Amino acid sequence: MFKQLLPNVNWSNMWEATVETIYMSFIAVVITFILGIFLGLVLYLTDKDNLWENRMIHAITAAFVNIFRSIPFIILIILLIPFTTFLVGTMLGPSAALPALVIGAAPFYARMVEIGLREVDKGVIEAAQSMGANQWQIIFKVLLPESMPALVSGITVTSIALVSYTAMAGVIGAGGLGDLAFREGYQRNNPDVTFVATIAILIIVFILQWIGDFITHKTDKR
Amino acid sequence: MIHLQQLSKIFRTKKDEITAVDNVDLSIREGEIFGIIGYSGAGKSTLIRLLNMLERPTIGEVIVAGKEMSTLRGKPLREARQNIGMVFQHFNLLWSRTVFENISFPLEIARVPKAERTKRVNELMELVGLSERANAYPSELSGGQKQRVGIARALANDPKVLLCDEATSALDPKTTDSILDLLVDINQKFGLTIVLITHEMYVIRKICHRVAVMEDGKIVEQGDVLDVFRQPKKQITKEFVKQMAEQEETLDTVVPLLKDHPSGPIVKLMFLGEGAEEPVITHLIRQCGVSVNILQGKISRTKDGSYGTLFVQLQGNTSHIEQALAFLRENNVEAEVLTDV
Repeated sequence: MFKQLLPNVNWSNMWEATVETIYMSFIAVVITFILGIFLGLVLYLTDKDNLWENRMIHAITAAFVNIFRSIPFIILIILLIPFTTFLVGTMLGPSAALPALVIGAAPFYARMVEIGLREVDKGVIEAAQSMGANQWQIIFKVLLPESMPALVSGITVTSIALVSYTAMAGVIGAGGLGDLAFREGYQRNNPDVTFVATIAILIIVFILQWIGDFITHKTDKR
Repeated sequence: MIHLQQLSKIFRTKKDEITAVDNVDLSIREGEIFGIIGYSGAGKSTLIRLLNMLERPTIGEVIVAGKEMSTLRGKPLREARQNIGMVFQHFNLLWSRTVFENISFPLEIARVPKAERTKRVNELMELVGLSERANAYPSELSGGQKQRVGIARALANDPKVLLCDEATSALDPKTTDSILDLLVDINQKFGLTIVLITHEMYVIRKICHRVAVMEDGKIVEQGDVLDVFRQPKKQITKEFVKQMAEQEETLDTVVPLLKDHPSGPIVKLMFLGEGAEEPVITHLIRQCGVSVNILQGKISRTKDGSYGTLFVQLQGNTSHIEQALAFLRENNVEAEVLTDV
């Protein structure tokens, strides 16, 4: 039945593309999570009245974040071509998409991290200080655990954005479902391939959302 | 235990300077419960934060348990802070941690080994009566229970001093009482020095040994609770004493009384300490030859005697009534004739 309805779909190619998309998204989400939390912490901590108040560093980080958050992703990939070839050695294949994916998503996530951290009650930080906590203890035992639901729901939103970024990255040679839908579906005029690729992406997004909601719920004891 | 010398804290904003704490000298003895009372904005919150360097002084010395706090920074300061527990008005618990984990938190900070931590947390939960709720999250606790966790947490590292920042201001009267009882209990059991700030006269009366009254960043009066409030010198102190004695008795409730009882002056008696024993009234009747008709009132017992207001009608001839009023004043009872209201 599938053969009749979707005559042009090559299932083994489709599966391979799905795996590539999952691979790109997964690695990018992990790196974005770490880098975004780092940048978000810097933004938060160097802000006025906070632990490492420092106008210079705050302004520089904020500028970096704002610039990379504002560049349309498709242009960012092109701008990053020299950087990517230097880092990965090629512009082809799923790994080549990673630098652009992370640089596109981490600043976006960093802002969400910053907002999450700002929600942490200042009184709780003061309490930790009154107990003699050092700054690392405040970061790892107070700030991050207390903002965890916000950090998780933020990375959920970001990971869904990353899945759609992988589709764009696919167009310039990274592979994955976006690449398949564009080359096999659009350029060769096989709408059924585009359709199935879309369904595959939707399934990935739904699963991500479900996992994110589950963890957010689990960690939120407020 | 605590010595403050010429302590000032000035906040500088772009436009002006705000002197939150203004040249304060204060000594707090080991093992006492010392209260600092003042209206909001008087600088008491800043003052208590100067004791553990959550605020750094602009000028002056802060010596706590023999350490000059204002010279400490970094690791020595963090270690000194472990000797000073702090309890907050809004509890400031970590919502992501259970009761057990919240109390364990300061021990983790002090890098106490796990087995010892568990033992200590269990003792503390026992002390504050929360053993049953070890695995509850703060969101599942009542205000009073949250404050018990806050107190247990503050005591975890065996501090020498406990600072209470409006610890009962967010609680209802009954819960306030139970938390105050717990503080007294801790004070007696461990000989812990407690410094508390509050705007409630009741808290001072109930548990404090000595008190300082704060206004505009200055300490305007200090001494034994009984002395300060029996003979208040400053206007603000008088206001606090009144706040205690008046309870909820206002003139509005008295006006109808005046109409119902026309045969003699109605007098408002304010009992402020030791005099508030029944014999005062008995003696009044016996010695002054007046009869006393009690109309309305509320007297509450506290650590150093009874406090409250009594509305009475004095019946007798004018000279006897004059004599009665003089007698009351001699016995530390403030008497105010309300007949002409």
